[in-house]
Amino acid sequence: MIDGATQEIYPFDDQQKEMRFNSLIQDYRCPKCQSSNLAGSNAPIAKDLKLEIYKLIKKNKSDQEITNFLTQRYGDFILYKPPFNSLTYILWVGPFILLCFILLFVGWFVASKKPSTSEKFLDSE
Amino acid sequence: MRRLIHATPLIIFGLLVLVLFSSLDNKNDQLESVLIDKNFPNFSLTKLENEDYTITRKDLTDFPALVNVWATWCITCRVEHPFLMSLKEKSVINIYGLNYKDSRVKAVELLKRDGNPFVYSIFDKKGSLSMDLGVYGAPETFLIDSAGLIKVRHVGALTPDVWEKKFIKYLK
Repeated sequence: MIDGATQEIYPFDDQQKEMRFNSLIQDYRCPKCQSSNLAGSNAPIAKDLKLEIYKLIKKNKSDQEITNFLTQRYGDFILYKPPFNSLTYILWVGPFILLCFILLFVGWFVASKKPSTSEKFLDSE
Repeated sequence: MRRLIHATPLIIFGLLVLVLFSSLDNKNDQLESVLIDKNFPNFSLTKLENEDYTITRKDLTDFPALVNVWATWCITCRVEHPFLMSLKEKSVINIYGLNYKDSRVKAVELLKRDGNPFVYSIFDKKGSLSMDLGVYGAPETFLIDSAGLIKVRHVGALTPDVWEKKFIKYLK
């Protein structure tokens, strides 16, 4: 592993579970150090949450059940991929609205350019 | 019209600069609690002062009350300690302590030395109740209203200013 000193050990006997664990801790955000995920955080709460996820996987809980466990306590904040709801819709829809505006703008720009180029063409004749 | 169109990118850029600049100073790391308007979670833990005494959700009575998450290793908890003491001295509200991932001996010693603002403290060595509360660092303070529902969660030191702004309105 990368840093042997700080790497915690979460022993699994099932390789598939281990892979699920490793991918889940990448997808949840650390509530304390808000710009890193659980995998990359050494904050005590991140360690506790990793241990909790480890235990839940050991208990054969599904990814959805683990996600529910975390959001019931820490809210949607803990998800790096937030759900679509009244608080987050602008996050999901915003870029598309912006894209529409840009397309409209470009369309308008191109349309307004056309007559002037043909005028020029006529002029040079 | 044409001039306006050409100025649009600059205007958008200007607005963006304003928005981003104004958020530079915004140090809001308070997470919304999911537990607002919900019941305090169930638990079964021991009393800090007495390891043979088990406390559950039913032992939290006398609402409205505060639940204050604290620890001896938590420096900000020392900052808010005098304010918690003053709330107790003026009998403003009952405060239950939630001793978070701490040593029992050290915690009892500290309360002896600096005064004990709590009715009693719940000893949460492993942080299990704290995890159910969505605690992500100490200190945190929860307000439970007279119906037993969580109304406020504050992360960080409880100061007179915060008390005034976030808590007082639920006590009237």
